[in-house]
Amino acid sequence: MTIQVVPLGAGQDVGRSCILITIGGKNIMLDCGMHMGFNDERRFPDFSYISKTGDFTEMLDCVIISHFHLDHCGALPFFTEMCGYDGPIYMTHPTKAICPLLLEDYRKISVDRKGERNFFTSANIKDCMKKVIAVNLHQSIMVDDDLEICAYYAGHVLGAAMFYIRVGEESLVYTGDYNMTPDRHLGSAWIDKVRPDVLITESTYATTIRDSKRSRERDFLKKVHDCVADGGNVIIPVFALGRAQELCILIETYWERMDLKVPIYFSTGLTEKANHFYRLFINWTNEKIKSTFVHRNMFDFKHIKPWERSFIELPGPMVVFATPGMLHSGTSLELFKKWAPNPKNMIIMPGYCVAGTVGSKVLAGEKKIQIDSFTSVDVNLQVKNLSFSAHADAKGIMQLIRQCEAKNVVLVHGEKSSMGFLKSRIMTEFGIPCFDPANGETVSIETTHVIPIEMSASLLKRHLIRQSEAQEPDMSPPSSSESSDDSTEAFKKSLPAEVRPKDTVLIQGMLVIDEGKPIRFEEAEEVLQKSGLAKHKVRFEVRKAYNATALRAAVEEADYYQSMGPESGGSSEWDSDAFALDLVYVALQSAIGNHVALARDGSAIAVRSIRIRAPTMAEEKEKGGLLIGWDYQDEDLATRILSVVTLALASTR
Amino acid sequence: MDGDEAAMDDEEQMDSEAAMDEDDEEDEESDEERTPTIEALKALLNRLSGLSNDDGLRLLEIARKKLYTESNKGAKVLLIHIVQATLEATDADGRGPIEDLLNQLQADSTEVRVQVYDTISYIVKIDKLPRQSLSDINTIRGLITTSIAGLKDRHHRIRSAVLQLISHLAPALKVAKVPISQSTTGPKAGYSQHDIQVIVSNYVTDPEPRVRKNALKALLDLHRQGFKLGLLMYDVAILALDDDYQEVRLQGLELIFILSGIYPNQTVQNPHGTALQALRLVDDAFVRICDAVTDSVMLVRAKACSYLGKFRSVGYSFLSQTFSKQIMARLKVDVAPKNLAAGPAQKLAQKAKLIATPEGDQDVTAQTVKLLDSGACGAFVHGLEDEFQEVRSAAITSICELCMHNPEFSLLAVDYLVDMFMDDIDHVRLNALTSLCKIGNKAPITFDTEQLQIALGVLEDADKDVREATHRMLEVITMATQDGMTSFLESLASNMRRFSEDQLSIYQCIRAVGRRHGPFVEVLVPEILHLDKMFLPIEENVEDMLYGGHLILIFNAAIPNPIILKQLPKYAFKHYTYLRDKYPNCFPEPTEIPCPGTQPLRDLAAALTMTIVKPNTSDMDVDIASRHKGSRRTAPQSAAVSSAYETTIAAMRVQTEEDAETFYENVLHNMDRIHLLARQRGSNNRVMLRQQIAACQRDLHYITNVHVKQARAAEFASMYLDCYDILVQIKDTCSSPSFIMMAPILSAQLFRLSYYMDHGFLGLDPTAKVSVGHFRVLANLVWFFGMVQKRSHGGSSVNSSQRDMGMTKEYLQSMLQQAIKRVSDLQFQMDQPEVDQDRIQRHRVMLGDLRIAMLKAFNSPTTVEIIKLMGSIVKFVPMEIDVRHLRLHRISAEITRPIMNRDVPLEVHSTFPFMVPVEGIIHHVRDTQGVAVQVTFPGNVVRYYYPPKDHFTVIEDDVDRDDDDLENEIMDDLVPSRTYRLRTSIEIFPDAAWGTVTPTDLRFTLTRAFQPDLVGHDEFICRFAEEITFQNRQQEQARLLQGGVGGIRSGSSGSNALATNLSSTASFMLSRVATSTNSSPSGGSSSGLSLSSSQQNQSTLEISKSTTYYVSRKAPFEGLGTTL
Repeated sequence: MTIQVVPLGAGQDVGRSCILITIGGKNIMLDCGMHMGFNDERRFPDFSYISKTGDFTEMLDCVIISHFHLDHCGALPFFTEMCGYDGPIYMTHPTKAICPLLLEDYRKISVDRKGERNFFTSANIKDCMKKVIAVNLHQSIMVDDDLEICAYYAGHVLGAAMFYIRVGEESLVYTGDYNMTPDRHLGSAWIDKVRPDVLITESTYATTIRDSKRSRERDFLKKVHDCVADGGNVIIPVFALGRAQELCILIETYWERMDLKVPIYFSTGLTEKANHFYRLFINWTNEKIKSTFVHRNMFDFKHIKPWERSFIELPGPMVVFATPGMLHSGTSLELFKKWAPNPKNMIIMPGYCVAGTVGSKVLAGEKKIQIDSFTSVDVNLQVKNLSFSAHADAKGIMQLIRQCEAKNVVLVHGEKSSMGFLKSRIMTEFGIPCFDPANGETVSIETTHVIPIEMSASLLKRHLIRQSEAQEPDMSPPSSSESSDDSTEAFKKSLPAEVRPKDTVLIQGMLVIDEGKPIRFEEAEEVLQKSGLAKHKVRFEVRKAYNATALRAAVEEADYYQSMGPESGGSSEWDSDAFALDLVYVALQSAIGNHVALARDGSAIAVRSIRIRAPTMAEEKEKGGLLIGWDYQDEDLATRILSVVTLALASTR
Repeated sequence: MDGDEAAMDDEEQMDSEAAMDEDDEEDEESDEERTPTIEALKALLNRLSGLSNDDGLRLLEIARKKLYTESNKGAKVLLIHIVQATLEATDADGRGPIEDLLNQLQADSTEVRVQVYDTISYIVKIDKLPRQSLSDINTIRGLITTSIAGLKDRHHRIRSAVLQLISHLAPALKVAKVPISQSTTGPKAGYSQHDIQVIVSNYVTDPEPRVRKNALKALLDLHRQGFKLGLLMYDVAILALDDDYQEVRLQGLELIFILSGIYPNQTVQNPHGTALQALRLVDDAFVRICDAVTDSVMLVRAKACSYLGKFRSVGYSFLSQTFSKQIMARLKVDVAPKNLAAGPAQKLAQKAKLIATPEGDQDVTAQTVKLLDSGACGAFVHGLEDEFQEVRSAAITSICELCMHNPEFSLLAVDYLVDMFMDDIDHVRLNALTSLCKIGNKAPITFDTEQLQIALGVLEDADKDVREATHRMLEVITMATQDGMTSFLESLASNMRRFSEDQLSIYQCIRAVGRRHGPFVEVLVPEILHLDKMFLPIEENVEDMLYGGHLILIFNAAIPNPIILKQLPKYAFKHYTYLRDKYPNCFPEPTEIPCPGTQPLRDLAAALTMTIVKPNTSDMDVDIASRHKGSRRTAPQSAAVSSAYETTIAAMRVQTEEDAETFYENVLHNMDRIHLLARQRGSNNRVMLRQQIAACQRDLHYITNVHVKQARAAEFASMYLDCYDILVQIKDTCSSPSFIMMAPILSAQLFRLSYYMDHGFLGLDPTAKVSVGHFRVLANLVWFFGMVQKRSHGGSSVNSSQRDMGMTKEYLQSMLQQAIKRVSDLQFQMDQPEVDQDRIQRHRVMLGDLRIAMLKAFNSPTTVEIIKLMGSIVKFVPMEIDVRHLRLHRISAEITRPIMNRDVPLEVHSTFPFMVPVEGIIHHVRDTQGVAVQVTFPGNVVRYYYPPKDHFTVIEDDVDRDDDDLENEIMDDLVPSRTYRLRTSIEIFPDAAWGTVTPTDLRFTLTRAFQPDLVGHDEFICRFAEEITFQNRQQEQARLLQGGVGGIRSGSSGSNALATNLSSTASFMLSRVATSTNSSPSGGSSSGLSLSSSQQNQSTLEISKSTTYYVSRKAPFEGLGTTL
């Protein structure tokens, strides 16, 4: 069986996450995001790859959205309402609640500010959300009879989830974005040992190992404090939800502790709503928040006030959290334009910036930034890049791979160069295949095909019992130590190394493959009875040739030295076969005589179903040698005997 | 009825689901007649507790027989339960039942077989299986072999039960008391230790996780019972660490840890190492447990974190990695420069249009990096960042433990611990604070400004415990900069404003900080006292809490840096004297400050001389010593004596511990001489004896102060000598007429002292207890004769005739009865096996004689007999106590709140109750049962308040005692003694009888209840004596108070007089304490036996010094009075 993975977006890139997978004949779209770096049609994934004719509903079994960031869900209304996908969409409850707000915000900026056309409308967003099915963590959902999905906690932002997808015996985990270290308001990602065939993981920070969180926080606070103490303004571009809350909690407690009076603002009307969502979905936050919120809600900020546009003219130091986080539009860009020329001011970039955005240019250290075709800004303010990203670092990614014990890894959502590094590390450290497909490139992963077979419990039980009973005589070594007279005598002692649990059971039976029915494994007799087939007996026979003359010479020589009896000379009725049989008998007696009963009659030796005999028929006789025959049940014993016989007869040569 | 059956079947079905192979023989389940059997057996099982031995044996027999005939498996299981229960309750031998049980192994039911194995392991566990003879050993061997055969069973429960049984059986084999030559009848006779380990460890790979868990558990059990686990088990444990099931991983962690303790220096190959590197096993184990810190299950993470702290010999290179996420340097890793934004790398990055790595991140690109198995990297970073408080808390505890053993490590750790002060969960914060405090006590910690800032931030915490822990923590740190001190003072000031109830704790903190930061304080003095060269200083309000704190800081800083004192204005020294009395523990002793003799220091010296008269920081023992001294000597005398002591002590300044040891030996030798002297009769001997005792006590007192190890024993010996002293007094006076007056007091003192010796110390052996109890016999006799003589005298004076004599007879008999009971009790106590019979032999005989004499007197209470009895007092020889071998702990307590407030009494409304917060620390008690706050009201009315249990918090376990084991040998119960903190508040109702003009004093004392020998009787005696002394005391008090008032009047201009007045009051208070007893005189009628003690059958013993708290009563409706 094959699992196919095609990234439509986020392949060796960050932004417009959209990955198509084919697993067990099902087609699933994972995430449906937009790209922040583009303002043309490239911002949405190329859906024509799925279907040229637009019958997406037939092609896709479902769409799964991992979290509400626009690069993971931004293209969803476009896809459902404008492209016409009508199938099920799955996301977690918080995602479903917050996602429309962000989409609406995005729409406003694109349409109202930039005046774009052919964009989805508010109605589109609403209609789109109606198709969404919300899921809970760890809730197994059967999309159809074969396809099962299950969400796991991913940290990253409120409601972010990793999805486990299973069809039959094949399984896949899509991580979305995740964070392996808990932060001030969210927990860490966690997944069961589901052992998926394929793990599709983000790799934003593939080459990074993050320092202790506390030192990062301290660093951040110190920088902010120093700047405002100096009379400068601090702008912190953030997204409305996620890092924003983290940093707000941080700054709020610091302000409280240091008793600072410098005003803090939080732009965008989403703040109120965002905090409302955090209160609503308190069980999606981490243990700390949950256990303390009874006494104090962390999201009730005392020092942080909502931003108004007129404040931009206010003198004096202030700290502003402004959206969006990549400086590509909105308040943050506006403030940046205003404050950039003054070297006293500071911009703190707490997260990742997609290439092409103003944010990334700022981070790259450009001194003059072209914002659009009309305006350019001198960048004199201090630029600080602090790692507050809620993505897993290299160690975290490795941890997740180990935690779920993936068999194959596909890297997405990262830069090509760093992916290469991580890929090589995964391959050497886990010894598992790893892929980093580019957009539109198909990765096919062969999985072992498991065919389920039904078997009745009674059959299994019978064999279990048989095994446990059969083992006792077999296991006991030749008990030569029956000298002691104490009570232990009664119990047979087995070798300590051999007393161990049995994890394999040998079962004999017959496979019944019937058209349309599942394959069954049944007792042979039963099957014969049912089907009315006759039972055939299979018997093997092997000829063991030996050198008769050498044998005779050896025997005579021995006789000569041994008995010197007159009879020995009488070679009238010399039967080499009888001698050979004798020889074999003696050899067998010493080799296996202790375990199995040997029977000897005139021209044959019988051991269970095995018969060693001299050839009787004429043509057989001509060929010479001994004939050894056995039933297939005694295959093991027969091989043993064969080797003994070979050895015994070889000695005559 | 059917419900039970069904429930049982349900259980079986669940099991069968798990193992897929349940036997299908439930054919009799619908059998109606069986259920009554089961019901009956169940009922029987529930009523087994009160069974006598014989009944039990009979029941056992029946159950054993029934086992063979019963066919219902439910009933069988119950029968096996009964066998188990009866075996435990009776003295039956376990062998027979085990045979029967083994027979049951043929049963088809899994349930029954599991129960059989469980019961056998239980029988082995409760030691019902004899293991003396060879055949016993063979039985055990046989059992082991049988059970190992059982391991082949298909059902996981059976395999688990068998593994458990093996882990119980195998050690039985080991400790069998059979000579080795006999027990090893041949190598083939049974499984060796090694074999058993191998077998058990094989099952760590069982397909069923529960069996895997139990196999590991069995290995751990074997280890606990003295098996030496083989090195082979290390691989087994590693296997378990990778298990899918958390239970297995948890056990695996423990196993790995144990093995790392057994084979620390064994080298193992690290399979992950790129090069073939051999690690020490302990290091390898450490790294593996570090790995488990990132486990997906919280429990495993928490346990891993807590194990990390238990490693002792891990290499520093591994330890240091736990705090760094940087890849191990050993692996030769090329880590990119930490911040690309600085240096030429920046330009490179710019060229390539790459975004520089954010600060705080590291870029790794080298191909040799091991991302996953990078050793112990960042284990504690992960642990401290964990989402769950359990993990974080465990990590903190572990870091603390590691720091205690690796000073280097603590340098790394401090920063992280300081960060934890900001944790959201208060008990994590608390843990971090106390941990850092512990580390700081071990090695000094220096805080830079930032760390200090964080630490000071915690002072604002709403939780009182956290605040106090912060104070304690601040005591041990050193500030790096001058600014630190300023902000420290600022935040303490705001702390005091916000939480005035923290005052004492803050003062303690300031005291310690002052002592550490002499130079910093020096600079600050003008600022904090508002001194200016241009102006004269303005005297500050001495009651200002903040000012008090400043003075504490300054005077303590003067210890390392006496120059400071030069800057101080004169009033500061006066205030010092005053505040030092008010907060005795916060200010340094004058002697502590080196005085070079400059002018301001002379002022200081002058100020100090005023306070020297005050009987100083005496401990409880001084109280007790002066308690009865005070009763017969006047105060000036005792002062003179105490100053004399001081000179002697100065003369014999003992420098080293060894000297102290030899000195102690000498003292004990002197004590032996006292015993010798005591045996010789003759009145002139007594004078010598008393001199000896006085000398000896003086020496013992000295030892108490200097010799840490023997201090408690010396205190004990000193009390013992007190008793001796009383004995001598009794012998002196018993023939004189003053005996009538003295007897009750003396006997009360004796009772008191002996009870104190009995119950105020931990670690008395039974012999010593008997010796102490012996004194009470004497006390009882003294009381008896005192009463007899009083009666006879009183009878004549009241002029009553025959009728009264008859009363006396009955009275005599009843009193004698009490005495006889006491003697018999003591005799019984003497007969206990633990008592050293050789040493008490002589006294036993004497006691026997005494008892006979008493019985005679009881039968015919004639004067002749009683006078005969009188002789026994003269003959009385106390039992010796071997002080040398006592390892004692003194149960003691101190009250930290309220503090004495003579000068500012609390104003209360006369009609409304008010709350007095009481806090204290109680040392060396096993539990807080019976600890009470005793409040003595004016008029000597005593009340006890028993605080609820949750008002006590454990501060520490006394684990660091070196002589712990010795004490435990003596003590049956191994409950460790602990130090508790009491924090409670007491509601007090003002009494109309309290004076309105002068402030009323309430005395708070911590007491502990105990069981007296004769309930009621002893208390009564003490109370009676108290009553007499109280009357004396009141007269004295009146006299003294007049003197005190006069003093104030005459010297009202200067504070010198105030000081003397204070000190005299203090000494007065002390002597008051000395007289207080453990019971409350109710109403004053001395003949009634009714008790007002709050708990029956119990008396109480003071364990702390008492604190006096003054309350002045407002007149009711004061305002109303003026308007009218």
